[in-house]
This record gives sequence, C-alpha cells and structure tokens, in this order.
Amino acid sequence: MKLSLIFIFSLIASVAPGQTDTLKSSSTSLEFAVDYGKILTIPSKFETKFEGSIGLKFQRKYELLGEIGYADLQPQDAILNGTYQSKGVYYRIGLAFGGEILPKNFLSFGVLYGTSSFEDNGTVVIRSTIWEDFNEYFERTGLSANWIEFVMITEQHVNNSLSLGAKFRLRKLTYFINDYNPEVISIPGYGKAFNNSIPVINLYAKLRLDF
Amino acid sequence: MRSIFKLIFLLLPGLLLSCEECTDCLEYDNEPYVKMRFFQKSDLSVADVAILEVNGLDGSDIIWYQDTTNEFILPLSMNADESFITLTYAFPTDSSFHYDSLGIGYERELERTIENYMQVNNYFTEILYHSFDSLTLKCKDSEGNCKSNEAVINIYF
Repeated sequence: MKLSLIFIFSLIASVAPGQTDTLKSSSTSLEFAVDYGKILTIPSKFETKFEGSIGLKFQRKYELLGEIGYADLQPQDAILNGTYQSKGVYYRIGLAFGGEILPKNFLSFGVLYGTSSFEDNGTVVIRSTIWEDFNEYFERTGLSANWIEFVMITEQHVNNSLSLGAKFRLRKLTYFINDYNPEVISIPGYGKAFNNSIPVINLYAKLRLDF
Repeated sequence: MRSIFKLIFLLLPGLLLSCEECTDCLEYDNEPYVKMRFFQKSDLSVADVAILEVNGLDGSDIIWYQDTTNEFILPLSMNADESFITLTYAFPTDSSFHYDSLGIGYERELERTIENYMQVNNYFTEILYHSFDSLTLKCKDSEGNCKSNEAVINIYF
C-alpha cells in the first residue's frame, strides 16, 4: 500500500508545473485520436459505437480536448419481455493537464463536460392469462442529457507521430430528468440513465502533428 | 457418482414435464391482479369455493378451474382502466352453480422491475359494481394508492 502511494505521489509530482520534461516543453501539437475499443463493437448486432477526439496540446502539458461520438445501443437485457434501442450523437469538451512520467510515457488528468442528443424506442409484450396481451411500442425523440467527467489519461508514444493510450473516466450525470414512462434506460455517450456516476475505460490510438 | 448423474438424468425430464402440464401454474409476474378471498358471512370463517369459470365481459378468454379454494388470484386487464368479469362457482356442499359479476376500476402504470421486466401496475383500485351478497376491498398501503397486486377483495357468502 505504501509503495503504491509513493508511486502515485511520484507520478503527480513528476507532472507538476516546474518539472523538466525529457522532451521539448515549448512544442505544440495537434492530435487526432480514435477509440479503437468502440470500433470493435461494429460487428455486434447489440451496439454500434464510434468515437474520436481532437486535441491541441501546449508545451506537452496542457491540452484542450474535444470528443465526438455516435452510439446505437440495443442492450439485450434492458427489457427482457421486449426490446429497447437508444441512439444519438454526443460531444465532450474539456481540459487536461499532465506530462511525461517515464520516457515516452505520459500521464495527465482532466475534466470534460459532455452532452448527448438522442432518441429511444422500444416494445413491451406482457402475456395475460385471460385478457388480451399487452403490446406497446414507445418512442421518444429530442432527448438530451449533460454530464461532467473526471479523466485520467495514460499514453505511450509508439513513434514520432503515433501514440496508444487509455482514458479512465468517472462520469457524473448533471442534468437528465428521467420522468418518462417507461423510463429512459441508456444515454449514448454516458451509459445507463439511472446511474448517477459511472466509471469507464476507453482505449485509443492517436496521431500527433507537432508544430 | 455415476448413479447420481443417472438419477438427475431421470428426474430432469419429469420435472420439466410436470411444469408444462401444471394448469394451475399461471404466470402473474407481469400482469396486474387482485386477490379474492372467500368467507362465510355467518361466522366469518373461511369458505371453500370451487371456481368453475371466469369470463371477462369484453369477450376475453374463459378460464376453467376445478379446484376448491378459499383464495383466488384474478388477473386484471392491462388494456383498459377497468375489468369486468362474471364468476361461475359452486360450494362443495351444494351441487348448484352460482353466478356473480364484478367490476374493478384502476389507473395503470407501466414500470420496469429490478429484474428488467416491464410490468403493468394498477393503482387506485376500486370496486365499480358487484352482484355478490357482500364484499370489502382491503388495500395494503395506508397512502391510499391501493396497488392492485397488494389489494384483497374479501367476499362473504
């Protein structure tokens, strides 16, 4: 436990302002990333997700982040006696701060604000013993939700222009009034609508263009 | 060890068949219902009744029961705010058939259970009319919501 605390403090200390990086600290880079974990969902018939991001990094420490994604979610366990689908576009913008902790290995922390514009639909079938069965189709459009994310980013530079990394996120829903009947189950870009906070891991590949 | 597997192998189809053949194993998990309990009016003791037929007045399916019981679970319609039924029943001590009708009103709400099933819950259950000698509606909650699945209709003969 002590060793892990020392390690964490050393990581934070290493990215604190005033520390010297092994790379040039004055450089600026434009970065494009794609979430390759989500691309793996394309063959799945239960969900289709795409997500990419663009970042502008200053002095290899400060980064402006913008993320955009699309998700078509059809979770099979959402309604066991029916179907459910939620799809839409989402955006996140934010800031991250960090630096090089080991040669070619970077760690940063950031905060993002996310918003999702989506729609959902579903069917419900309930069998009745003497009456007509209950069959209902529901559809809601123009739904929106907002949330804030705390993110820890680890990244390794594979070569001069390509990086691989992971983002560890903790999402906190800030606005979504789920007073629909039946309730909204999934929010594209966020997760399950009735969870006020959600931990998430994303894997990404990044292309860096240094100035 | 092998004999245990043989035993399971022999018992399993029997268990499955027994579930399929069970005509009383009605599924009320996702449809709303009220409980009907039967009592003797004279001494308020439990009355045994043979439910012979339950017929929804909207032309719904007729279901037949042969068993004698003092409690009967009556499913409610999920497509209307009221359920009207006629009940055909007999007493073990009496060979004649009896017929009575019952109308129940409520408000419906679709809800998702923690097991991820959608179910219709009925609230504000009330008796709209009946032809029984006497009955009372007992609601479990004190807030006046009278959720149908928790409500009991006591019928006195």
